[in-house]
Amino acid sequence: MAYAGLDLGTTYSACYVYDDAAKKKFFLKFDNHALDFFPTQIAYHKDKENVVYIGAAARRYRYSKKYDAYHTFKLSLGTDAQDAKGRSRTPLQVTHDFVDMLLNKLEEVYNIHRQNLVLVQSVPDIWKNEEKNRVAIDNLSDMYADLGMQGRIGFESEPVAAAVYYFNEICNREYRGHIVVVDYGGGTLDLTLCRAEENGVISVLGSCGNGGDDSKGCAGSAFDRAVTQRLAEKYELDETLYAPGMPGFNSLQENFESSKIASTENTRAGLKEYYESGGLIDSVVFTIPMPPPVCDEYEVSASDIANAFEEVNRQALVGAVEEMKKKCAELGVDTNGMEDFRVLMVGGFSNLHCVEHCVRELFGSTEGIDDPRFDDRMNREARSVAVAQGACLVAAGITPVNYINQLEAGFYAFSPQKNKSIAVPLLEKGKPVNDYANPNFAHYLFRLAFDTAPASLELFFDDGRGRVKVHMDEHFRSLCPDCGEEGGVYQIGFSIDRHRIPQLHIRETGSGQVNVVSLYKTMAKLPAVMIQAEDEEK
Amino acid sequence: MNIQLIQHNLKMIDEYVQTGRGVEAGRLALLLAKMMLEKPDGGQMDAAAKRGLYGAYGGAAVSLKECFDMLLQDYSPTDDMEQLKEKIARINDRISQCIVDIEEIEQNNSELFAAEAELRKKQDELKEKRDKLQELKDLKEKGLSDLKKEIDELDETLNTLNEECSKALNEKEKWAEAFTINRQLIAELPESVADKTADELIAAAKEYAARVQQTGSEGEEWLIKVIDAVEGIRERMKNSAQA
Repeated sequence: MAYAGLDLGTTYSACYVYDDAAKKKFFLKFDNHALDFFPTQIAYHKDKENVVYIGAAARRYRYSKKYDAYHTFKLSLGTDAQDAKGRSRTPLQVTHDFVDMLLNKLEEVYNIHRQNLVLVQSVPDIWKNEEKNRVAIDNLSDMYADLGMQGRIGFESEPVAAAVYYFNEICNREYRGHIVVVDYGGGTLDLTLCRAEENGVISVLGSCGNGGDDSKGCAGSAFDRAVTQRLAEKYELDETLYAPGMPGFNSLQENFESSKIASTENTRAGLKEYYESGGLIDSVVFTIPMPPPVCDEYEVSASDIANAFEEVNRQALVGAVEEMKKKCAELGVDTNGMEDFRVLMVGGFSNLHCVEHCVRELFGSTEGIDDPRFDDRMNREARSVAVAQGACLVAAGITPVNYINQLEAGFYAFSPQKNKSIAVPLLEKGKPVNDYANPNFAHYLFRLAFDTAPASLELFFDDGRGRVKVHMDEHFRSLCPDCGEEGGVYQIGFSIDRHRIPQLHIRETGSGQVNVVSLYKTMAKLPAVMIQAEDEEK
Repeated sequence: MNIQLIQHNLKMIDEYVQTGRGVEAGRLALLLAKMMLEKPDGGQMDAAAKRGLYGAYGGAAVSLKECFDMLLQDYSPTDDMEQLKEKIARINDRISQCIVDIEEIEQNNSELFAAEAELRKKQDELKEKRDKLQELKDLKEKGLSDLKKEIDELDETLNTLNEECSKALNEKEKWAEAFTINRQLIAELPESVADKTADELIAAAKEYAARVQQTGSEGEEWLIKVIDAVEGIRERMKNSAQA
């Protein structure tokens, strides 16, 4: 059997494989000179159906007229996964083909067939808190079933995968304490609080963050766009070519991105100098050589970087870190602890000096100070590979992960005694997610009464940001087994499946027949109303 | 303000000071002081926390003083650029001089090395000669005793040979006498004998002896000897012909 961890990033991806039969561990590479990670891009030839490229090969054709090229499709795997937005393929189709080609590559080059592969794909933790992206794992789950991976696919939160990597590979399973993972990538900002338990299990206690979206965003891609815009203005480039979305702008942004990655250390030094001098020393941190026909070289100063960060990222980062600190305080976690508290910075964008500078500042630290909470061993290289390797460790079952349920869900029932609706919670916060592997049914019974009143169900859902009421009427009836027969008596239950998606169960008490639907999918189809806590009584 | 972070870094500074890493201690102390000045957020602290913070500041001050004392030993004012330039020029001159000295020392060293190599070579040769001499001495010692032994053996052989020679001389004399008589007898042999063979001569001699037998026993004895001698000659001739 082989185990793989796929870090499907917004801009770059990495796939780490552990081949148990051959006792080999390696990063999937497209050729001998390739890096451990590759661009999350795919390009289809418009006329030749079988000519499709992914990774660095696809990036070459990003602006080719002969190719239909896609990038940053990870940002559209939620409710808009099936929306082609005027293009020939939907984001989910593109993701399907991208992953299919990766799996084929494993078969062709490494002789690992998908039938013998257990794959864990890392996903942004923030997805579960975003209305748009809650259904993304449902969508991916269906996609993997179509790729012949049903039963051998798992999804792990990206920051949790990084914490697993840190615990196993950096600390050799010896660290005990809390870990706040700040996962800042091209598309999302995810913060997760974990705890390395005495028994070697990683418990996931809570998370927060900011996903952003393709158009706006608060992560790496949005930052790259902001700097590119600044450069276009600074060098007074032709607006007809260098306005956002235009080919010149895209080309400049792409070249900025690759120059930024290649000059990480130089940029770090320049920004350090810039911050320490209070902005007085503003040196050129790198240049962007533009290919023909432009053949020009644009200088990027420390202030270009720092100002774009201030404009696009700082607020979101500060907000997320403060929220996490609040969460830590609620759970009694001492964020000042030198022995039992760690802050892990992962994701490509965390390599930017501004990010680390800001996070350190928020945790009362300064660069250069000896602060064990910021482990030096999580260097640039480790940050880039942590998620994929951690996902692989989870796939191989080396480190068990125990999620603590962070959401409350239930339904409202009418109490004749009180003559009003009362809330019946079936999923409670703070309990291990595994406790809800089997559905928790309420004792209340529902009866479909077509004549007297329309059958309806009101659900509530709270992921920590306030209670949301979801009203189901016709849809509820359609989910009831044998709904055509009047007088049916039903029970409502909730469970959490292996991908940590809450499931709504509707059981007909007579026949015992049960219909199960994803709560996220249901909520995506129905209107949800945010309600205030004081408006209701449990 | 994170007291634990301050305490941890004070411990690190102490460690640097104790291990003589003054520059690192100074760098960390400076950063720590900067951080403490930038984040003196003690407003919401209770009295105990403030006391702790005060204690930490006090500890930091002591550590900083130790660092600076240590750094002070190597401190010299560098605000006078001319003085600094002169100092640099002096150091550069000194470096140039040192380079020349180093070259000279290297040259001397190479000569010394060459001389040493020569010396070693001569020492080896001397040792070789000494070994040879010893070998010769050994050989000489051994040769003298062997020679003496050989001489003794030769003396012994000489004595034996002398004895044998005297015996042989006696024998020779006897034989010379016999040959004289024999020659005389041959000379006295009648002419007819000269052309005869040995067998014939023996037969004639026997015949002659038989005749002489009658003349005296002494003559007979001599004749028998002559016959034996002739037979001996014949035997030897026969043997040499066969060989």
